[in-house]
Order: sequence, then structure tokens, then C-alpha cells
Amino acid sequence: MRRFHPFYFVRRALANLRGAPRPAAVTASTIAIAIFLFGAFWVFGENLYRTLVGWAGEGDPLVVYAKRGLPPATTEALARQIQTQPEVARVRVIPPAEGLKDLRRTLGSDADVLEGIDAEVLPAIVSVGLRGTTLDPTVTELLAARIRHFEGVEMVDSQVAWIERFAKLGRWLMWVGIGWALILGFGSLLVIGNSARLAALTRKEEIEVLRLVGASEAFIVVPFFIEGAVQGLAGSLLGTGALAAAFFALERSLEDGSLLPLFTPSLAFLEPRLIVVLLTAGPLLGAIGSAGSARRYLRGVEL
Amino acid sequence: MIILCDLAKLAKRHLLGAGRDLRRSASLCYDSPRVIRLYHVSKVYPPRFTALSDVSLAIEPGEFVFLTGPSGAGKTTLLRLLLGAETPTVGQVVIGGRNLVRLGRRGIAKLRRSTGMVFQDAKLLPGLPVLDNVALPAEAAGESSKEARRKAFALLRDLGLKDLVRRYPRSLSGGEQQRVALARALVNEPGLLLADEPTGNLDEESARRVVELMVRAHSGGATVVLATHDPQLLGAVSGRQITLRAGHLVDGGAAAE
Repeated sequence: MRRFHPFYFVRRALANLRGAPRPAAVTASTIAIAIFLFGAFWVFGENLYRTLVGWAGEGDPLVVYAKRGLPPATTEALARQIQTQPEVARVRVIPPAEGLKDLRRTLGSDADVLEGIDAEVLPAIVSVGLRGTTLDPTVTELLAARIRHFEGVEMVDSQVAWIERFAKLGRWLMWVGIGWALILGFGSLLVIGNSARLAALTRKEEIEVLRLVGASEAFIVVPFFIEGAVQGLAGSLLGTGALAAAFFALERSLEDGSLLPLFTPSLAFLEPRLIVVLLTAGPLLGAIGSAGSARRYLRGVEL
Repeated sequence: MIILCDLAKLAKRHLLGAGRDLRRSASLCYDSPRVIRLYHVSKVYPPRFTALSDVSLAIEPGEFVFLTGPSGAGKTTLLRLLLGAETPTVGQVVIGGRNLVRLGRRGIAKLRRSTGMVFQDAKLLPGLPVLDNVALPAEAAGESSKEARRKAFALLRDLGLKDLVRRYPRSLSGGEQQRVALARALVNEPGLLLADEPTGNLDEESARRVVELMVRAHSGGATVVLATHDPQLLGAVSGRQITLRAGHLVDGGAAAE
């Protein structure tokens, strides 16, 4: 009965890697670059999306302007009515005086232009926070349309549309990046395939001898498979490690520059399951590319 | 000797440890040799070089056959046909009742595991020490690395090459390389040993040692087909001589029926 030879295969694969370290390094580096770019785009897109969603969740994307001169009690009643809507998480009434104060703060040194203006010229505002991270413009628009018909409402302003546009842009960028990384992944597969073909060519005599002593195709190809997997694992570890290092360095520099609070809730690295996917992708890519190429080479060789 | 070998193999299969002891006592223990038949075999290489032309011959189990003839006579082509490394352009090569033309890759690989082949240039793998080179066919045949190495070591010891086990091929002399190549060809205890000018590059003493080993394999029960144009070699060992010239069989080939 024929047996599986883990010891022989690993021994051969490691000996081959030691024998030709340069092509192995090129393959590992190519995989590392592909993994790094894929991860970087994923992290960038994910954080952009999270930040936008965070802004939408923390800020109040719906602003309801009450009719000017509406008594405070009626404004409070309007706020309570808005609060009863299922999509609404919270409401906050901003009386005209507080609105004017906010406006002054926003204008900063130019606040002088508001000198002599009476707060009563401003309408009371009901700032509406949405439940969860609802960013669907259709839902928000339907809610805005309902609120517009409430007694005492002058105007409803929805900021969801542009947040959604940014979020879409973020997602789009993420997928463009992933697409790019996939192209790079395919490129790495070609590089891996070529270096495996090169390795097969340089080991032509060895393959010929193996064939002549009756080695099966699997017996010849498995060391190539292991070599590819080892190169891929090295590439994965290198790529993911470099990505983690770059991410935490960036996070630290943002912290130092007090820019981190801009990101809501905070910057996030890859989820553990995605790290596992990246660490698995490299060896798979390497093994399949290497063994596939060696196999194609063998099929084309007489003997 | 052959009966003793068969008994040892049977015992090995059923008793494992006891089989090892029996085999040690029997030294090398070859597969049952098989009948070789060539029927009107021609081999033409593109564009129009005829290496073999209408060769029919029969080699009986346990024979020692010299394949002689000048360079370009077709000796190497004939050996490669017997190893399944070439397919005939016309005709059939039958070994042990199996037509090699109809065997797929797997069938050919299986056949090679029970056939030993020695080349003029030894063809040892430079990246492997002698022990691993010799163990390679056993591993390819399905032995565990440990068992294959154990067999290889025992064989090298029996052949007086124990001191070479850790050395790499590039540090060996031509004669040592060829003896190691012969050990590699014998490690699976093949029923058929093919040798292509194994002494072609060797001095007289090294050539004598190589031939001794082949004679030992033959007395162990293996059929030996040795391609050579060394007249000294022909005089040193008794065996049937088959002569080829320009791809034609000119002498000694009992025709296959």
C-alpha cells in the first residue's frame, strides 16, 4: 500500500527553499504586497464607513424648524409628537436664544455681525436623532415628509442624503480597493506560477530522475505545494504584520495630533476573522499557484 | 535463492519483524523477474531519424543480457523503451504480460518502481546525501522515510558503501557515484535491472566493482539488461549478447513469438 510521506515532502520542500531563496523571497514579497493592499483598502473603507455612520448616529441628521414665534410649550408638544415616531431615537429642542448662542460660537471672531439681532428672529429647532444607524435616505425622507405635516413645522432639513453619499463613496472606495487587491492577487498567482515553473525548470533533472524511479505525479508535486504554502504563509504574515504596524503607527500619530476624536467611535483594525482569512489566503494562493504550475509543467514533459 | 526471497517477502508481509530478519539472511531479494518481449518495434525521432527498426526479441526471466553495438546503434533507445520512457513508433513492448504502449502514466510509474535503471552519468540528485539518494525510489514506492532509509542503509552496507552515506554526490568519485546509482537502482529489489553504459566513464577498477554488483543482483534473481560497447566487460561476465547496428538487430535476439 502506498503511503503519504509528510516527512519526506517537508524535508524536500525546505531543502528546495534553502536551495533557491531568491525566487522564494520574490514570491513571498508579492503575496505580502497583495495581502497588505487588500487589508489596507479594507481597513480604510471600513473605517471611513464606520466614521460616517458614527457621525450620523451621534449627530442629528434631521433638523425640524418650527414656525417663528411658536410658543415654547407648543414647541415642546411638537418635539413630543416627533419623539413618538418609530424611527426616532431622541429629540432635542433648541430654543431661539440657544440657537443664537450656537451661531455666535460657530462664527467665532465674526460673531460681531450678530450684534443687535434679537433671538426671536430665529425659529426654535427640534434636532432629531435617528434610531440605530439608519442611513437609508428613503426611510428618512418618508419620516421628514410625515413631520412636515405636523402642526407648527416650518421646514424639515435632512442631512442623511449627503451622509449616505459619503458612506456610498466609502463603500465604493473599499470595493475598488478590494478589486484592485484581487487583481494584484491574480498577479501574484502569475508570479507564483512563474517562479514555480522556473523552479521546476531548474529542477528538471531531479524531476526526470523522480519520474524514472517511478515517483507518482503527487509525489513530485506535493513538495512544490508545500513550498508554495510556506512562501504564501511568509507573505501573509509579512503583509498582515506590516499592515498592523502601519495601522497602529497611524493611530498613534493621530492620537498625538489629537485627530483621533474625528473618527467615531474610533479607528478599528481588521476583525479577527478577516485576519484569519488573510493569513489563510496567502498559503492557499501560494500552494495552488505553485502546485498548479508544477503540475502543468509535468504534464508537458515526456518520460 | 528466489524461493528464499519469496518466503522472506511472505514472512515480512505477515510477521513484519521476522521478515526483516529473513531478508537480512537472504541479502537482496528481488521481485519475480518478468518475461520481456519486443514485437516489431521501430522508433523514429522527428523529423526522420530511425533509432530502432523492426526489432523483435525475447528476454527470459533471470537472464543476463548484454546489449552491444557502436554508438548510435539504438541501445539507449531500447533501454528507454523497456523503462517506458519512450513509446515505440511501431510495434509493442510487453513486460510481464503488460503492453507498455497501453499503460497510462500510473501504470508506467508502477512498472518503474519494480525496475532499476542505471545511467552512464549516474544522475544522482546533488542536493541529497547518498543515503537519501538511495532511499528515494523506496520512498517513491510508498515506503515511509524511516523504512526507506533503513533499507538504503542496509543496502549500502551490503554493497560496501557504508562510509558514503552522509556524503553528497559532488564529493564522490565517478566510480563511487556509479556504485551509489546502482544501489539506488537496487533498493526496491527490482525484478529487472537496466543499465546504460554504467562503466563508460569509469577506470578499470571502478568498472570491475560496478559489474560485480550487477552480477550480485543477477545471482539474486534479477534479470539484467546491460548496454555496453566495452569488450572487457563482455569477457568478464557470462551472458547472452544482443547486438544492434544502426537500429537493426543483427545478433543474439531470440525473436519474440
